[in-house]
Amino acid sequence: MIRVLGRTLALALALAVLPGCCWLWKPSGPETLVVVVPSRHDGHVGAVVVAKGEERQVLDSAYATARVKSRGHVHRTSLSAEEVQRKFAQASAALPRKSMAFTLHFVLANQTLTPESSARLDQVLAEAANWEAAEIDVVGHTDRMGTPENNDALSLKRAEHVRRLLIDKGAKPEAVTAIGMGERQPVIETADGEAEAANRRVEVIVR
Amino acid sequence: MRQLRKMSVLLMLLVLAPAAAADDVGQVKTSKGGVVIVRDGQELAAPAGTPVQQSDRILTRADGSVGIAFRDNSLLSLGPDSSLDISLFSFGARQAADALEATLNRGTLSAVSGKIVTKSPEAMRIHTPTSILGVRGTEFFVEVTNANADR
Repeated sequence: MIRVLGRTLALALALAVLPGCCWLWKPSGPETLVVVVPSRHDGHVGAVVVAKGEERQVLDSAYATARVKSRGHVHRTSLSAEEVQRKFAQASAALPRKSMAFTLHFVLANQTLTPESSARLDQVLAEAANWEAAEIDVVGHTDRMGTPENNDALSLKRAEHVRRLLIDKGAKPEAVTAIGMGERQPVIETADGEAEAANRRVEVIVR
Repeated sequence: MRQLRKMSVLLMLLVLAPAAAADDVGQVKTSKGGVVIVRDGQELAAPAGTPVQQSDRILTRADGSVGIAFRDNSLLSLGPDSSLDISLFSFGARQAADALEATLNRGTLSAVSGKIVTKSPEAMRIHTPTSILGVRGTEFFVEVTNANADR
């Protein structure tokens, strides 16, 4: 009788303890860590909104950090610059270079580059040489003299002319794209029909 | 008549499908050690210069790291033992809003936002197994630990 009681008791005890022990043993599941850092390019600190279900937390200061597990709330904390560097060194080193933009100008209503702009073509190629796989976008723009349609055509013609010059200097043809933006993206806003040297340009982006 | 209509629909699908699939959303710019792109169930090598497309999965091995530049100048890079899905990318399309959505399944991610975020904050989103990150700007890091290793 006592034996049976003892056995029952042992079984009951085991059943009571088992869920507890297994809950402790259960693997903790995925965890996310997010940290906002100052921009390597200009030091600017942006913001990331961390959402989990209905909960939202905004990280908007340097090294503000959040940890998010499957269960529970978003946990806010802060990492040191050294900890971030240690954790993310390899990912950070793999980040591509920032794209570089060069602006080239033309002699009025002509396809001839100004002398300074001709020299800038070499800078474009020097920058492209820094990349393992550079793409070069050549984007033509005009001022507001003439019709929008003519300006679309002229801007593309200028872009294609610059593309050709870059290829002649050694750029890979498949890596260089010419695009015509017409008069739609002026640097300086003007009335229609007005000549504006600053808007007569080709932008070259190495990325 | 019915069969003819069926056939014309099939033909139209055949014509449309390749054009939609060929859209490159970015390019691998840096690649070190073991890096592969999983596309349509195939594993492709991913040296610098390899195009990246929507629905690609980017994987790095224990010795790998990779950096990708998107068409809007968003930059994403992965450290070793990482897995990232490019879920959605749309930039300057007439029929769709700008968006960049990616899922970090596991590993480490370094990110710098591009023109999509400058024009419409939080149009860039990073999904993780436990959260969704809406990006308002510039530079941040994400790590996913203890995750499903199959992804």
